[in-house]
Amino acid sequence: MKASEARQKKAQADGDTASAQRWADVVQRYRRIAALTQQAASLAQQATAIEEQTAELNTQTRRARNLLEQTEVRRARALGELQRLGITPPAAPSGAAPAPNERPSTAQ
Amino acid sequence: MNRLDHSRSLDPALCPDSSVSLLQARLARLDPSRLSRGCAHVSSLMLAGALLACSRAPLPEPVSQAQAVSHSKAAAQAQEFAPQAFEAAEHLKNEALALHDEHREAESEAAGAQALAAYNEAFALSQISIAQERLEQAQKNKQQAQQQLSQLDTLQAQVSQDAEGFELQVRVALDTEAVKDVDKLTPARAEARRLAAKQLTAEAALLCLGARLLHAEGNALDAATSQVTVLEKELGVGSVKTDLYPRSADARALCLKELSLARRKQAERAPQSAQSDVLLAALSSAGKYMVFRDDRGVVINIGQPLSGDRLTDEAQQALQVLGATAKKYPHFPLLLVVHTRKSGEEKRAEQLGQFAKDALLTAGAPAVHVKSVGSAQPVIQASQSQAAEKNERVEVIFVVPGR
Repeated sequence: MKASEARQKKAQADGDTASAQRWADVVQRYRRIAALTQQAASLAQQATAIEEQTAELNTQTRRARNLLEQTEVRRARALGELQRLGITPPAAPSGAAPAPNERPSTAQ
Repeated sequence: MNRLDHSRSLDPALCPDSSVSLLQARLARLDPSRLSRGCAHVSSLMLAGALLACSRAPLPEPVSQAQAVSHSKAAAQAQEFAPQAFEAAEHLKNEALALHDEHREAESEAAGAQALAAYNEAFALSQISIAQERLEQAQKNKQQAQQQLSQLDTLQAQVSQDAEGFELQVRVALDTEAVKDVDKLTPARAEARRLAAKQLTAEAALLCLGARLLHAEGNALDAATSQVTVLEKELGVGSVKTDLYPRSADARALCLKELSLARRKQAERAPQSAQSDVLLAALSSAGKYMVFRDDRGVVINIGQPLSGDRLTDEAQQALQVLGATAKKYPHFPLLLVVHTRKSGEEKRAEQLGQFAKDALLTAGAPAVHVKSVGSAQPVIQASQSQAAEKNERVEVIFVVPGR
């Protein structure tokens, strides 16, 4: 950029106005490029941070899925025991756990 | 690029085809035989010099660089993600080339630098665009992950609640298992419950008898005693088809309640009448006997009381001491409980009970009530070694009248 500024000054000194304007534009463009590069880096940094948070959430989701599966086994076992004892459990209230194929997917 | 450079290496304006052709024709008219080798060489140099004079100036460096980057991978990316900026750069590059064609080299160089900067600007803009897309996708993915986790948490709470509810129902159902479920019991478990029922019924019988010895009366006691009698008959069959354990437990609870009520009345009449601690201390100080206290009262256990068809010396001595003690504490009704080695020894139990009762009465006991519980309350299981010796015994119970 300094070289471009120098070329701008030289062109002005030589009376080459057209070239001087072009070199001035070059200087302006490189200033914009510096700001744009900074902006791109900042955006990439934000994206990386969010991706890391998402990865952590996915880990939590996997753990939650495992826990849910274990709890479902517990529930099924208790339900089977109740049925073996001849007891009909009350109907599941609305909003109860859906069937396994209706569960949210945790596939990564 | 190369094609473009080569096409621009000769300037038709400066070197028209006619002048080159004229020079070539003049050289061709010379007779080669008249020319020396040196002349031929000079001719060749003159032709090369003329051609060089006709060539144009090279592209300024920024223009060449702009041409190079315009075909790079980054340029292709910029064309996709920052098309306007890329077009502006292309326009500037073409301007630079046009200026070069017009031999305005200084301005062409500046325009080339402009084009180079414009390409870099397009690259930066495309990087921003890519980063923005990545950021948006990351935010979307995060939102989806949060929703999934939230849904799983809700499901987990629901399923956990269901599981706990069902487990509680199972526990309650097992605790209050109906008698009719006996068919579902394993034979071993059914037999274990029958043996436990026999023990409880025997305890119930002794507790009800203790209540009567404390002069308790009433329909409740009669009902409890009847229940015990019925149970003793049913348990005597040995069948496990019917689970009698719950009824036995009920019967024991009823008899204990009657005994407690009887004791309460006695205590109200004579608060100092119990003195069970004094009696327990007196018997314990003798040091010879196994003395303990339970729901029935203060109990002394005399093991292996028979030798052949008579009391052992040790049993005889113990019963004498206990008879004398009973004389000192006449307000404690004396209950003698006979335990046999196995079931079906009623005669032996009657004989043992009679011997022990006689011994107690002889020693001064005012009254003795005998009750045989057969083999309902064994010390050890009948299948184990020395079970017969250890299970046959008598218990002398000082029924505690107060609390």
